[in-house]
Amino acid sequence: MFPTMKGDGLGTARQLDREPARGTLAFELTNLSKVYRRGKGTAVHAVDDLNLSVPGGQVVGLLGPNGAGKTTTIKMMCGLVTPTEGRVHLNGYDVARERPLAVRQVGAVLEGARNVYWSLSAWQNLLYFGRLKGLSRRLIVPRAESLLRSLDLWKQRHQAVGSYSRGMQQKVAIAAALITDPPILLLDEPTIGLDVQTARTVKDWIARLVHEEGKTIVLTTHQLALAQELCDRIAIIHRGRLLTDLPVRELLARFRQETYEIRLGGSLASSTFPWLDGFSVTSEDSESLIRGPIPDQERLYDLLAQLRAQHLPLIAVEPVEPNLEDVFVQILKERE
Amino acid sequence: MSTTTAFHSKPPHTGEQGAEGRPGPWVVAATRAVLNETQKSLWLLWGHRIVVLLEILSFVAFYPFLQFVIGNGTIQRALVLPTLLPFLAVPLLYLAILKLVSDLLEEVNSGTFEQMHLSPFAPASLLVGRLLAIFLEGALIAVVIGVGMSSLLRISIPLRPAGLLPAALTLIDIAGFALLLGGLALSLPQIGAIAHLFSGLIFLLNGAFFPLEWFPGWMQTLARFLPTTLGVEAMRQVVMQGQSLGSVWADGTMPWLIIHAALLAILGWLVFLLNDRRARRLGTLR
Repeated sequence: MFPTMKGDGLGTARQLDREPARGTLAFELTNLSKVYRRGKGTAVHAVDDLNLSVPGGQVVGLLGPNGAGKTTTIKMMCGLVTPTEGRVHLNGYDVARERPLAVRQVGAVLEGARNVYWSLSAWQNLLYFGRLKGLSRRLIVPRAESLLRSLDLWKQRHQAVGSYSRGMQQKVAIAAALITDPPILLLDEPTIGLDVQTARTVKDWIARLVHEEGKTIVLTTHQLALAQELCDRIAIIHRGRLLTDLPVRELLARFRQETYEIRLGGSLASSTFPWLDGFSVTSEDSESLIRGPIPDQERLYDLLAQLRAQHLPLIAVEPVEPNLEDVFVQILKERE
Repeated sequence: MSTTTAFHSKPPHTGEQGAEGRPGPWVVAATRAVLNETQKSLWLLWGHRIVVLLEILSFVAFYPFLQFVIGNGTIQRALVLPTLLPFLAVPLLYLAILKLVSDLLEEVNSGTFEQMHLSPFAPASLLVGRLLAIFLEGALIAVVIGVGMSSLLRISIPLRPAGLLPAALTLIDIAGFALLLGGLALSLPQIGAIAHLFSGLIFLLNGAFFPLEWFPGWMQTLARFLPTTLGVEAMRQVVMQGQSLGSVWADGTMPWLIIHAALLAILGWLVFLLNDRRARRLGTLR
């Protein structure tokens, strides 16, 4: 069985498998590449020789700028896009060669898609998606009830999903992905377009799924604060290549001595000064806050000299704990 | 809004498994998944029941209107006899082609087609479940037209069990053709217009609008290559003319129908499979 799976004993995808999970890795991407041929001889390397192995029970943040290859990676993981090269194993099952068993290991909420039928009710959707994976109604019904109650959708379960708010629709999509209790959940931008409260519900849910049910979650998001809060591990990809793959604490520790905050009186626009490239600049109440990586004292003094030339009063300079956004910006900048 | 995340229900007994704790047979789960598609399609039809009702009324009104036109202002019994049975295949074919294609394209756009691929069962086999729902709707329309026209004109359509075989082969023929167009729709999203054109051509030549005998010999031969023509011809011989299956076999209609249905089903399956694989390779499932 999946080693870190605590499981609730509900009718699960695993119970239908003829074989238990193989090995100790929740998923393994080996030399994964995807090349799209566009027009005459033009090739776009969406994913380039990606290697990633993740043990069970972790939240992995797959981060990167737009077009980095995150969605293509997620879709290759669940067999929706065929890799040009390389292999994907889910709980030990090869997606290309053992597709029926591999897809049972995974539930997915894909970015920008409806994921569920808007003309059907939440209840009908959960029954449908459960049986789509081969479960019987007897196994689906209690789990569907449990999911809908947990997501506060029980009272509206017979209403068409199209009549729900965006947040409720997203909850139904997540419930549909979880209806077979798969050990691996792929969430592509799960909180995009959600209000703060619903995004928090989704976030709490993700945390619960990992800590109480031992699920492995792959999360793509542009909300780096969310990723920092939720993820055990961060993989940053850029132009299809894996730039880093580290536990969050280790990743932040690497940049601990290098991040500073400089507070100035008056407003400053980063776009005006090329030497502020790579820093985040926020202005509020006639104060500006410059935050970013400063690798050594010499660079710090250089920067302060540049700022002094702007005749803005210096309020404070202090080293700070870097957050994921600082690290993300710095890693991408180094790559550029 | 609640942020409660605990599951409320107790784990049910997993009686899904066999006595030795082994999972149930794959075929049971696969059948369940196919019938699940049928049920979902029926739910969707029920959700759009006003549109479905209008479809039924349009088809029911269309046949007498057509007969009125080709009968120079009267509905002639002599024209109804050879065309009524072929016309009963029209709603089945029309709905199978156009609904399957338009539903597929809508699902590709909305992303639910991708979710369908997260099933352990082949998408082409799941589409068979959708076709079953479409056939149920088409059969309902066919029954209303058949019963209505036969009672109106006092034409008897005998219920001969022997007619079930050509009827089943005709459905396979239609399913194969629908899968063929559905597969092409994955690569050619603009196929809707071509599907309309093809369905119009088939209805013109398969004997549903005009008796097949009105056409010159070469055109009759050409028409027999189209879906449903051989099927309705065999049904007409068995049901209306009271011929035995043996005689329909002997005159070559039945062997050709079997070959036609089998080839079209295999071709439709292959075309869908190849285009589905192509879409996964190109990343265009959505």
